[in-house]
This record gives sequence, structure tokens and C-alpha cells, in this order.
Amino acid sequence: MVRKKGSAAALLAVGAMLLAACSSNSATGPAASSTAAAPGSQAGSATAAAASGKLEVFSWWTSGSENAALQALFKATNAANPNVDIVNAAVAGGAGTNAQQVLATRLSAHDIPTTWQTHAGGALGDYVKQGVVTDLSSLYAANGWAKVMPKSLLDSLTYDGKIYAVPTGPERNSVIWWNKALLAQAGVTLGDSVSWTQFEAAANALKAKGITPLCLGDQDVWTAATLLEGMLVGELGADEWNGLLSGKAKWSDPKVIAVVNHFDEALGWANTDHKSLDWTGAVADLANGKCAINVMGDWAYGELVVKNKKVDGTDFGYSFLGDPSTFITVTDVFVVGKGTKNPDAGLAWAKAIMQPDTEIAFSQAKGSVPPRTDTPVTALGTYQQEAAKTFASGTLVPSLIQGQANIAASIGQAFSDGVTLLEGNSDAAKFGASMDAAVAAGASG
Amino acid sequence: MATNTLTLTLGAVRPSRRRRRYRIPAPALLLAPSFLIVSVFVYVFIAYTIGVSLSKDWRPAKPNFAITSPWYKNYHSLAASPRFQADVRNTVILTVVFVVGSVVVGFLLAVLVHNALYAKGFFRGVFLLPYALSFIVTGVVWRWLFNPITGVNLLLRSSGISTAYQHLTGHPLQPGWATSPTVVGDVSGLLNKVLPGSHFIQAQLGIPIALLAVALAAGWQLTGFAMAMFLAGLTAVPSEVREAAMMDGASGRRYYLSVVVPMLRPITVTTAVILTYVSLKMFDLVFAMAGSGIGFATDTPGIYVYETMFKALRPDLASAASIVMLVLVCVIVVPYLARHSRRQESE
Amino acid sequence: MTATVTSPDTVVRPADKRPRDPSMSGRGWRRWQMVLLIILVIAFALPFYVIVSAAFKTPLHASVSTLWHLPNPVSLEGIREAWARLVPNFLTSVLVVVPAVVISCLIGAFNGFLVSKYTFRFSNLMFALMLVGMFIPYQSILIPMVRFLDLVGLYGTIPGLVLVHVVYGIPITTLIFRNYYVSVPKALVEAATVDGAGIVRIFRSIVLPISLPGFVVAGIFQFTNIWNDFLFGVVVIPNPAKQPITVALYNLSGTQSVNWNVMMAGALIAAIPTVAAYLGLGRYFVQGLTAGAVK
Repeated sequence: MVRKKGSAAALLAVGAMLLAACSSNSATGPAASSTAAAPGSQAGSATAAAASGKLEVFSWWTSGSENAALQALFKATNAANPNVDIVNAAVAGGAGTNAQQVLATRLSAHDIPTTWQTHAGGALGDYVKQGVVTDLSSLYAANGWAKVMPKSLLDSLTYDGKIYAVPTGPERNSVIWWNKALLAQAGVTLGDSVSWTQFEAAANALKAKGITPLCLGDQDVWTAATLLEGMLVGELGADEWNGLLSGKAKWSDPKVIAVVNHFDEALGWANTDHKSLDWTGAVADLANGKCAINVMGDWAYGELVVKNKKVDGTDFGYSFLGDPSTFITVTDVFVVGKGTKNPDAGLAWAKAIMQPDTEIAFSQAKGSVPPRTDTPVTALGTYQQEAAKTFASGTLVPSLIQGQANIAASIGQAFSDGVTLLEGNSDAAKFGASMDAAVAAGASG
Repeated sequence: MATNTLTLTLGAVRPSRRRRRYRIPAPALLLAPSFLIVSVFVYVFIAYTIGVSLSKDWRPAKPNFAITSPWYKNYHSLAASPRFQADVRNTVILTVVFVVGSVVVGFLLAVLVHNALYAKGFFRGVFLLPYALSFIVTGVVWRWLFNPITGVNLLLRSSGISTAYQHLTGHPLQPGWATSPTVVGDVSGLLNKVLPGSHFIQAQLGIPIALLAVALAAGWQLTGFAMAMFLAGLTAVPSEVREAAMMDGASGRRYYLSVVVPMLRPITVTTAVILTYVSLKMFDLVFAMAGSGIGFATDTPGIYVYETMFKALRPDLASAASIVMLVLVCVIVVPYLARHSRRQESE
Repeated sequence: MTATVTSPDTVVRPADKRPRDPSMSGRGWRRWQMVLLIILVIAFALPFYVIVSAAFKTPLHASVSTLWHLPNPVSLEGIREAWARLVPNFLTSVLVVVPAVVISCLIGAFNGFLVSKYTFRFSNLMFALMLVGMFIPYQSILIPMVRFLDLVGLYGTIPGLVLVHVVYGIPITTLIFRNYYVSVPKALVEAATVDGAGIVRIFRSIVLPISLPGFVVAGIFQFTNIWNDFLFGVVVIPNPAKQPITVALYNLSGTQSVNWNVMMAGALIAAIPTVAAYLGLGRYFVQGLTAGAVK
């Protein structure tokens, strides 16, 4: 019985310890005592000896083509570093948000993974501010990667002049995919570049023939936001889009409001069950001829070809809203943790995934394009070769809905929330006002 | 001193000693360990969360509790946020509809199963089985079932019910279920007249139809549990009470309404509290089934906290939302519990 | 010395032989009841049809547009893959759930007994405080919780997860048992106290034996709650190999493309132990054991 009193006292003591630990901002933890951010860990020479030990890779790529692509990265790393033991710590769900949840708790317990997946942009900046990611600038310098990557991509990985991540495979957002047979039925042709008037005319022609013009699967609202983003970039142009993201341009500007109203009109062309389909359901409907047009990132290509077994050119085609040389980038990047037990393994990983061969293997599995402009793309499919060309020479803009811009993550969330509200109340003015407020708040925070 | 209160638990002790040195009652000491550890896991953590909600630059790996200015900034943002306003509305409606529905249907099922002539185990099993499923699966299945084209609506069409309805009302019976953007009974206009300045409430103050669909799915999963609780209660009704009612010639309905229901009140209360707890914690089901819905018709504070903390990377705002929800729950639940427990003691 | 409880109702009667409730003897009523029951059974079973049929379909066929169709062709591929991916985590779930349920139910029973039978000055306040705090959304206390577990060295361990489930289960199990024990007459306890029995002895010898329905309800609730938990499982144990089965189930859904046949098959597999627990505990529903029958 004395036990009970003793345990009560012990609990009180622990509670007090917790409060003490909370009030001090010390970052001590189990991993900090290991070979932490020593200057040597940044040196990553070009001819380093192969790393060994445990390499924990944290991502949200748990199945399908994403998992296959991740395995390609593992294979490449193991080939160059046979003694490295790769631990796949992937967490699914919420399109990456579940992984963020787990990562946040791990970071707070100082259980830092060797490397983890994130988006170039606001999330990366958050990690930099917390001091949990390694500066990779010297690795870039030693390997000359900065010369073979488009400048805007490099900029998205840079904070305060230092580079903190390596990209895997950029994908293109908001491509217009169309069903060839249905368009032919309505007598519509969509060229490489599609303007709003052409889009509207096509939709009306399709409707006249009793065909559902737009395939939308926005059970997750980001798919609808993808359409809006494509329309904004397409109708307003890259410079205006960058201005909107940075706060130089206003979302409440009449020409922006006009585009938002066009988006609202486009929502009216969608299939009636759009709110209970996810993006793969919408692509499947496009493949099966239930509706004619789907605006989605180019991961839809793999879905059409591999899962739905449709042929590029025969069954479906693709166009771009506005200027075809404007490439809305969606890039998953990997950062190397700081203060982990095996920093060399993290650097070896970064090096391995930047090799041209790895990039090709990854792109083949995932349907993306290599981030390096000097990687030969002849082994990839026709769509990917075209995309790679645009990526190397066109104008790159970051995707807002996929969290790619170097701005606060809360702005992307406001965009997503704004679209949710827009679907309900069709109030473009309110949308513009809330976006302006969000950009202002995000810039000051 | 302390030893006297402790020897109480060990064995026989002279009564007089017990009363004189009675400082901390033994039951309190025995309850203390649970109370303390729950307090740590609840109140210490809540204190931490309050700290985060007042901070301006707190991050998981760099906990900085410096206070933002003004200190109530996050709470103010919440009050003005149309999404959070919709969340509060949704929580109230979902909890009420779900709890009341599950309790009523659960009781009905319990009565039916209790009086079934045969295969009671089978019936019990069928109704309780949904409870065994993971919430995410329930969410996905009901999202499929509520698909306006291929789900339950397809059954309504092919069975002719939809066309029959069309003869009556002119519209086919093809509800939007969880995809419906309709909000029934929006009283925001009225509220504006009564409470000046309430125009800052941007969310529609009505009942979103989509939320009713969510309540239906959640009810499917949890009604079996309510049924199980009531079944336990029904089997515990003493035989004398039953026989007395039969002798008095009470009809079935009279018997249930006037005798059984009052007798089952403690179980009803427990069930209602547990279902309220489940409803407030419901995340995976809503997230998998409908997400935030059109115009945040099915958004819940849980989803809001999740996205705000881990997607928008605003732990301060998310923590403020959690505290607000906790306060709201306290304000409603605590007085009820206090009143109810006092009433129980007087019985 | 223990007080004995005697009453006609402590005799276990098989459910079917118990006297019928009043006016449940008319044939019309009975038929109407059975019809209603059958309709409700069909309504409740409908989603199960969707799940089971999807589990046996091929990936392309298992989709929302064909949810009512029977599997054609029938494929065991979903079950095979789900089994392979879920079974490794089965043991972890068992190691977490069994101790957590047993401990939290025992503690809840003891606490419920204390709070309902011994009204000391702050008993209601302590009880209310324990109950109310658990309503906070767990997403927001994840980080302090993880820091605490890290502090006591339980982060990433199964005992740590058990601790979390036990602690967050105590308020509810206490509530369930408290409301159940309210119907146990205080006289029973007082008689034993006068005889010199201590609190723990009274609990062990008198109260515990008649607590079966309480344990059934609390057991069902806790087992389901903890077995189906995702949040704590994924956060307290970051190592995927050591995570509970529900986390593995969620991981069956990729971020981009989901094979629904695997997911549905996984859902059925993951539900098997819970169903087994219900079957095991459900037997006790037919027994009319209750303390409310003491004369």
C-alpha cells in the first residue's frame, strides 16, 4: 500500500520534470550526443568512400508507382553503398499530411530520420528555421549540380544562400487531358495551347452533344484547386502568378476575379458525383468515356496508360492552359537530417539520387522528368521527353496547391480552404479578399 | 497518521481510531494514482497546448513559448474564420443528431433483439459487427454508398422507389447525401436581427444535409454498441418488475415507456456520454468519407486541427482551436455531469 | 468474511426460457417485430456486402462505379496481399491491446467502485476532472505526449503505447463502472466494512465477482478503441515494423492510387480479432447477473 503513495509521488516528480523541460528551450535529446552537425559532415567530397550503417528514409510513398519509384532510389543507393542498411519508414495517408504529423512528433522527440521527403517551398523553410536539416551547399559545389539544374528549381531549394535539399523528379501540374473519341464526337479540337474562350467553346459543344465536359474528382479539394491554379497561370501568365504568390499582385484585382469566375463556371460542367470521387476515379471516368476533359498533374499519364491501359494519341491527348512553355512544377525533394546518428549515410543517399541513372530509373517508375538538364531522356516515353524539354527551357512556376512556393505553408492552406468555400458560395470577391489577407499574414509571420 | 489510513485497507481496525486521525480518506488515496497520471496526460498537456496557442514562433524541434502580441491573436483569428465557425456548428449538429439517433435506434434494436424468439445471437452479431471495423474503412464504404450516381441512389433507381417518389413530388429521389451543398434552415438572417454585430458569423447557421449523411454512417457503426449497452440493461430488469407489470395488465408500450425507460436511465446517460466522446473524437470516418465537404459542410475541428497543424504549419492556431473546443465541451458537459451525479447520490 | 448475495436473478437462465415481457405474447406483434428486424438486418448488412465483394475483386473491378457487382472474376489477390502486409503487425497489436484492456478495465472498475461507493469530499470533482479533460482533440497534445514519453524513456516502445492507452482509457472505464456500480446497494458495502473488511478486500471479494456486465461493456469498448486506434499507434511507435495492425491497414492506401480490393480485404482481416472478442464476451449478455436484485 505504501507503493501507491510512492507511485503518486513519483508521478508528481515526473510531472514537475516535464514542466521544467518544457520551460527550457534546450534541444537536448538522445540523438544530440552523437556525431552531430560537425563541420566535416558538410564536406561530402565527390570521391567519398561508401557509407555504411543504418539509413532511415522517411516518406509518404507507400504503394503503387510511388513505392516503385522509392525502391528505385533504394536500389541506386545500395549499389553505390553496399554496406548501408536502408530502413523504409514510410507513412501513408492524407496525401503526406499524416507523414508530416509523425515527423513533427519525431522532431519534437529529437528522433530525427536520416533523410525525409518534403516539398520544395514553405515546408522546407520550416525545417531550416528549426535547424533540423543539413546544409548541402558544399555537396552541390563538389558535384557541380548547380550548373545542371534550372535556376528556379535551385532557388526553391535555397534559403539564405544555402541549399538544403535534393530534388527527385519534377512533375507538371494542371495539364488538360482529353478523351479523343468524345472530342471528335462533338467536333472539337484542342491544340497545344488552350485559351479560356476555346475551353468554354469546347465545353458548350460537348454539352450540346449530351457529353459531360469536365471530369472532376474533388473529394479531396486539391483536385479542384489544381484546375483553378491551371486557369490562373494559363490566363494571367507566369509573372502575374509569381506576383500573386509574393504579394506584389493582389488577388482581389479584377482580372484575377474574372478568372475565378471562369473557374466557377467550369465547375458547372463537372460530373454530378464529383464530390465523392477521388482523382483516380475522375481519370478512370475519362478513360471510360464518361466525360471528356480532365485537368490534372501529369501523374495522370501513368494512371491512364498503366492502370486504365489507354494509348497516348489513340485514346487520349493533352493540351495546356495558356502558354505551353509555362511549366507548373511539383517536385518532391529529400532533405538530410541534422543531428542524426549516421550523417554520412544521409549524404550518400543525396549523392546517389542525383545520379543521372537513378533519375532515369525513378522517372520511369513515377512518370516524372529528371531534374538535371544533362540527364539523357531517350529512355523515357514521348510525353516525358516533351515535358523534360519544356522543363529545361521553359518558364518554371511553383505550384501553390502542392506547396511548392517559397512562401508560408499557410498561404497554400488558405488557397485550398478558399476553393472549398468557393464551391459552396461562388463568391469570387470573398475568395480574393481572403487570399490577400492570407498572403499578408504569411509574409509577416 | 498516514499509517492509520493505510491500515484501513489491510484489515480489521478499531473503529474509534479510524475517525480520530482521519486526514486523507483512504478512498482518495486509492484514487490518487489514476487521478494523477490522468491529470498529467490531460492537464499538463493541455497547459502545454495553451502555451503553444499563445506563442508566435513555436515549432516542434524548437519549442519557443514567447507570447505573440496581442496574446489573443490566434483566438481572434479563429472567431473570424469561416471554417472554424462552420466547424463549431458542425460539431453541435453532428453530435446531437448522432447521439440522439444512436441512442434511440440502439434502444429499439435492443428491445427487438431482447424479445426475438430465436437467433438472438445472430441478430446481436449483425448489429454489433460494424463496430468492429476500422473507422477509415467505414468512411470509404459509405463514401461509395453515398456516391450520387453509383451508390445507394442506383438501388433507388433500379428498385423503382425513385420514380415512385417522382410521381409524388415531381423530382426523382436521388439525394446528394454527403456531396450535398444544401444547408437547411439557415437562421443567420434571423440572428442578425436579434444579435447586432453577428454578421461576423460567415458560416450558414443551418443543418447541412451532408452532415446528416455522415451522422448516418457513424450511426451505422456505433448503434450496435448502444444496443449492447441497452441489452445489458434489459436483461438486468428484475423478474418481479416484469411479473408485476404483466399482472397489472400493462400493454407493451406502457411497460416500456413507464417502467423500462426510467430504469435504464443510468445506462442511457453512460451511453450518451460515451457516444458524445466518440463523436467529438471522430476524425478518420469523416475524413475518409467526405473530407471537409463543399463549403465546409462536413468539416470537423479534428480535421481543422490536423490540417492547420501539419499542412498549414500553424501549430499555434491549431492549439488555439483545440483549447476552444475543450472549453466549449467543458461548458456543456460539466454542469450536466455535476447535476446528474448530485441527483444520483440523492436517490 | 464476505456478505453473500442471494436472489432469484443470480440464477443463470438461458435467454430463451425467460418469461416474456408483457404483451409480447400476441402473434401479430411478434411477426411485426420479426419483419422489422429482418429489414434492419438487411440495411445493416448492405455495407458489409460491399466490403466483402470488393475484397474478392481484381484491382480495377474494385471501384466505386462497380460497387454492387458481384466479383467477376473472383480473385484472392487482395486477400493474399493484405494478409502478407498486415500479419507482421498482428503480434504488436495483441501485445498492446491485451494488457491495455485488462489494466484499464481493472483500474476503471476499482475507480468506479471508489467513486460510487465512497463519497469523500472531492470525489465528484476528481471524477469530473478526470472525465472532462479527455475531450480534447488528441492531435494537439501529440507533441507534449511524445516529449513526455521520451522523457521517461518509453518513446517508441510497446509499453509506452500501452501506457498511453491505459491512461486515456481510465476516464471512460471509470465512467462505465461507476454508473454500473450505482445500482449496487450501499448496504452491501457497509455491511462488509462493519465486519472489518478493507476497501481492497471488499472490492476483490464482493464487488468484482458481480461486475461481469461492466467488464463486458468496458472490455468491448476498450478492445475496439485500442485495436482500431491509428493516431497513437503511428506516433508513439515510429518504426513501421513495430506498429500496430491498424497503422499497417492505413498504409495499404497509398497517397495517389489505392488498390481497393487490398484495402477492403485488409479491413476484414484486421477486424477478425475484434469480432472474436465480441463473440467471446457476447456470451455473457444472456446471463442476468446483476446486483440490483438484492432484497
